[in-house]
Amino acid sequence: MVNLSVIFLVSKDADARRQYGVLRGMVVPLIGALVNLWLMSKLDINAFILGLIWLSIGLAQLAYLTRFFRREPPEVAFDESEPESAPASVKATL
Amino acid sequence: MTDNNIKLERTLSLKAVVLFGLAYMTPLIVLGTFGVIASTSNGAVPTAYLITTVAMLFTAYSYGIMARTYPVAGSAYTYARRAIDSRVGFMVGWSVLLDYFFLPMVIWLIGAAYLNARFPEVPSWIFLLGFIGITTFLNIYGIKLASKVNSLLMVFQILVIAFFVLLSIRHVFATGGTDSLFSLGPFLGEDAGFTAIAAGAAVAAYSFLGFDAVTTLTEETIDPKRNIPKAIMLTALIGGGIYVLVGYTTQLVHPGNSFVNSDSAAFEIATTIGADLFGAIFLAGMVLAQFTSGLAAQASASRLLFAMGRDAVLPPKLFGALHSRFHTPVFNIVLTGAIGIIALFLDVLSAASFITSVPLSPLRW
Repeated sequence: MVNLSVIFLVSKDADARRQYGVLRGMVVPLIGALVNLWLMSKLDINAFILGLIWLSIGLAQLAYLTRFFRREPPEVAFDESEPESAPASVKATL
Repeated sequence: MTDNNIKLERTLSLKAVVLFGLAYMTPLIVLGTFGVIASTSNGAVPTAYLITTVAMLFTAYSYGIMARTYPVAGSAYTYARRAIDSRVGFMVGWSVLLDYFFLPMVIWLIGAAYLNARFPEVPSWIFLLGFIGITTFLNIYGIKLASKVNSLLMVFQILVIAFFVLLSIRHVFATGGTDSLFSLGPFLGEDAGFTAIAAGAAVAAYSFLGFDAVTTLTEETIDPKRNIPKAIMLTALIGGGIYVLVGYTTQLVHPGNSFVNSDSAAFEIATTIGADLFGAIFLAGMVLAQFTSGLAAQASASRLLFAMGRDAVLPPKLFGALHSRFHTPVFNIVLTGAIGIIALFLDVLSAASFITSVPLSPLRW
């Protein structure tokens, strides 16, 4: 997901795209994501089931927080820790 | 948030953060998993680790980009939340919680089991509560003290690894001379094909668990936009380097993949290359390695909970609060410690089966 985050960041934000380019912003995270996908395919079935159970509890908590996905999860503004260089267009799309 | 003026304290240097990452990874673990990886990779342990290290560097680089863009404590949770979608971010954070909650428990349990095997007359719950108590105290008191203790113990762990490597080299030198020190054998294994090495590499990837934890310390690091991306690459590189080196020398001492018991292969080899004294030092190294790993794991877990509490996706009054004097998320630290107490009712076997099945880390990477 961190690899995918980079791809999303770079594809949404022109500044980030200029800063990191296609190689670092697209190719590197894509390879990283494929490696991790392959790792997940190697998991044993018990691990997989445990993971699914945990994720469904999380989905229930998210459903509660967002009143069945009708609104975004809460976020407290903590502007002092907000990075100054955070690309404005990414913030705007949230 | 209870008080807007209390923040995490920015005290950690690049070196301190890298040592935290390495502590969580526990490089000494390479000796614990050596037998298993040797079996799956047909005796090509260093190659399996080399492939994994290169593969993990791609993900480490992505972490670096995200840490530079969003230098806040939540790690993968914050990155996915800001870059993809807040709901996706929540689910990523939730998946990380599974690992971060239960890894400290498993780590403390294994540490207590090592001690119990050496001192069977002392009941193991004393060791377990000792581990949890000391670690929780250090983490509450502050990241600065925790980091000092961590750095000191990491030096010891690295010395034990260095001794292991040197004793292995001496053993190989004594039995085969200089030529046998430089051999492609450990990289090739015993007719290890690509499939076998890839299977070994998949197991080896779990030795990297925790390298990404350094990003949870972002708000306590000096100049995080420069230091955190560097720290995560260095953690993966140094950790991977140690794995390849130890894998190589150990595989020189013991070529192939047949052991009396692959789970305790490292102890077989430790007694081959060194005498009883080294066996004792080795045990101390293992115990302290578990201790530092638990310290780092508890610190990371409490920072992730803090970031989620601050965003109010978890009850903010509890999870998003910091202690006014220590500047640490006390509730989260105590909670992680309390979950560790569950380990009193588990045995090492079920915990070990959990650690090999830690299911969700590739998902967050």
